[in-house]
Amino acid sequence: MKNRVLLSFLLLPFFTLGGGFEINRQGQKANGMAGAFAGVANDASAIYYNPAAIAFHEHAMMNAGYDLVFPRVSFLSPSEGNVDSKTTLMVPFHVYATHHFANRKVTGGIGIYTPYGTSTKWEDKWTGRYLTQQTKLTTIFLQPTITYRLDDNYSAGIGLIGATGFLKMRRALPVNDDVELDLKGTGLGYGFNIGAFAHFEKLNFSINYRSAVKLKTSKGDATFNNIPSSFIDQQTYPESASFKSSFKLPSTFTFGIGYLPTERIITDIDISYTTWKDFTDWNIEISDYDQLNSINNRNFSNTFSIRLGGQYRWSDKMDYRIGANYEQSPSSDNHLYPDLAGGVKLGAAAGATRHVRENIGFDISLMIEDFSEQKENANEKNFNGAYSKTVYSIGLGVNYEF
Amino acid sequence: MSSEKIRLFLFFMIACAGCKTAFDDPNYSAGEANFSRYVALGGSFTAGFTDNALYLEGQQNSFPSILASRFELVGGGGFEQPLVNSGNGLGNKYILNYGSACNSASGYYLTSLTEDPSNRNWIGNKAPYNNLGVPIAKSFHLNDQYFGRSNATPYSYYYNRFATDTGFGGAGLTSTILGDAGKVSDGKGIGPTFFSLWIGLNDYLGYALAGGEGEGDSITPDNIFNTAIDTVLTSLTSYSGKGIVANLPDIYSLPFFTTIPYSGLNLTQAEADSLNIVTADSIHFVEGANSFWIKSPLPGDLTRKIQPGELVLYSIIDSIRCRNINERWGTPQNPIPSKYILDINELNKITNAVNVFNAKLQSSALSRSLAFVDMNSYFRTLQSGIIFNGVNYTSQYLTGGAFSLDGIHPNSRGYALIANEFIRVINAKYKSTIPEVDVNNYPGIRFP
Repeated sequence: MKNRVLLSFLLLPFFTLGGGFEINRQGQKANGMAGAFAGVANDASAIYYNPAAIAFHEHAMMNAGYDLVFPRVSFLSPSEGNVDSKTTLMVPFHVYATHHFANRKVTGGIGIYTPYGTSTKWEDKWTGRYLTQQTKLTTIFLQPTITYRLDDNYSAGIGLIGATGFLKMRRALPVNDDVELDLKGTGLGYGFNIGAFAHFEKLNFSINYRSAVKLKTSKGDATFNNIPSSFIDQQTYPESASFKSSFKLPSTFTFGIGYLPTERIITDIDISYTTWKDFTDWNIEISDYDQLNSINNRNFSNTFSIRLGGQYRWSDKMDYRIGANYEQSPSSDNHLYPDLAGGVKLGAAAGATRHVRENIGFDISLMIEDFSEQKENANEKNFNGAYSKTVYSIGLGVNYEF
Repeated sequence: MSSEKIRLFLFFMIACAGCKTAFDDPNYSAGEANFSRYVALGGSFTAGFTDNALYLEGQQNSFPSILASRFELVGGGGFEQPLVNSGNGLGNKYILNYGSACNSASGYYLTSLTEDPSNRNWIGNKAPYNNLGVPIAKSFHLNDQYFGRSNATPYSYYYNRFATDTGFGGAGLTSTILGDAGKVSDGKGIGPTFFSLWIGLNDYLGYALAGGEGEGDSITPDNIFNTAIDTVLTSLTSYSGKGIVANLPDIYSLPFFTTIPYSGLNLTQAEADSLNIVTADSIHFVEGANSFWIKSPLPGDLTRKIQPGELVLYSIIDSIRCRNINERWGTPQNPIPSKYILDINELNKITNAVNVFNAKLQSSALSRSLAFVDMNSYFRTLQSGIIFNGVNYTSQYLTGGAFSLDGIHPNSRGYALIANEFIRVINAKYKSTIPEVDVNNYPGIRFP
């Protein structure tokens, strides 16, 4: 069984371009195993990884944590040579809690987590300033969840997602010493997270589907700075305007297997299929000023990803974890831009939990994700070059069993 | 934090010192060419003329100067230009203003600065210069010993001011641009190791700017042009045999000739009514766009309606924009004088000349195994737009981003686009890997 899984991993086709914006850090235990957690799902972060799994938790639980994520992008410009992005910090966080109802047939839970996001910042005068100077997307999902346990082995669960997105974009417009365009918007969306879990003595099977979430902002604020006075008088550019933007965060289908050969060892393999095709474009429409719209076709492709992880219980006080992951690249040739650089992802992670009491543990996780170099030669903006990207993070968390 | 965690964290930080994303510096090479002594010959485009003047910033961002800044990465030597003083320069430099300069609504208008006449003076023999671009120079001026004898007229002072010999000493003959090109030297030798030649625009442009009236400026005859190119290229290839030759944009690529449409007589209903009262019944004006009326020299100095395809020179913009209907140019009462119009006959002459010149430039370059850059088609592409790093450059006057305020010469961003096209062709011909420049880092039009 295991061999076959390994084989299918090796046979996955390797694509060479791309970069999505899934944060992939929704729980400290999962982080320590590079996100390979759907087949284990043994803490409250299962609300994200597979809601059905919370039915089999011995106790109601609470988990909370955050990560410090540092994305770094370098761009090889045909005119400027290597250009490094500025250092940015993202702080994805999560809080989950579950509650078993009286008959233990029904388990409820709630989760707040930040599954998607990106943060890229370049020097204001950099060579790509007319495409982007800064792009920051943060999403926060709120997910009340309910799970039904059919018997000792099978459960099913569903969570409803209310999503908020915060978008901040900054770019220059080529007038005089550059006009600065600032965009800020908040978007709302909704979706669901549904799963089924099969739990046996040493083996778990997990099937999970997280729906796409369409984020939509119809009244973002666009601010223009440093406009020549004649442009104001002729209404070429406004000083401020509202903008519209809507885009879809993709859906993900995940199949996971957890294998627990001994008391001390947990292993997990997850395979996901993510419908990045949903992310067709990232357009900004500025009301009454069509000529200032930015139309950015992305033409993403769906991806397979695979995550492998394991945990070893060193002692009653310490658990150690390692993991690795791989994801195909969602973005397609000729639609690659410096706000969403990336490539084929290879990640490695390590983590640990210190149990200070029987029911309280502190988690730490470390993750490095390296995106293969990718080249762009023909996008609509004629912004050519190569990208290289690395994301590294450290995460801290606490878990508590009721 | 337990000591264990601290150790883990330290390990992580060390591991990440190694996760370097930066690319190595690309390897730029000169390929089969040698750029240690680069010399540029040509007219106003080579000199860096912009905004109707030769001024310091324009010279510093001339396309040969931009090229030289890239050649430096692959063994290029210094690049000396005969710079003017840091003031208004030579020629009446245009400045863009905004407001109600005339009786129409607010809009953009040009004012011109007075030139700094001290720039006409001979700057001394500081040769050799690498940029020998001379505004107004025609093909046959490059080897003309009478070109630049005094500082009396533009036809002489543009070269006179920096010629190695102004002719005052002896027989009245001056050095020549071509001769000066051969004087460039460094410790390793004399004469250009690489040259660019972009000459010939003035061979037809003077005629076009005079509306084809030929008052003292005619199109260079084919045979004179052909001989001049042969002379120049024979001399320039005698040093290293390597260089690049550009052909010429046609007149339809220059916004000075294309910005005012033939149907540019814009009328209100009241203005149309008033014109309809005083003109013959066969002529009918409508609200909005109407064809101009022009004075045509042939046959018999007639006043006639302009034909689609005939061009109106931008220099009359104020006469059609600012005046009330009784004085406005372009009506049957006040037809546009023919020296501001290029009619079909004149355009045919220009087009034929451009075709002949360009055929000669291309065949001469190819027969001498030189790089050849097709500026004619590059400028035509620019009409529909050339996108560089997110900016769409077009030939549109003022808003296109590539041309300067005079509507004929590029601005610095336009010259940078041109330099990149030269680099592309040089790289292809000489197997070099010279990087392009970031066009967007050069100054564009300054809007008030």
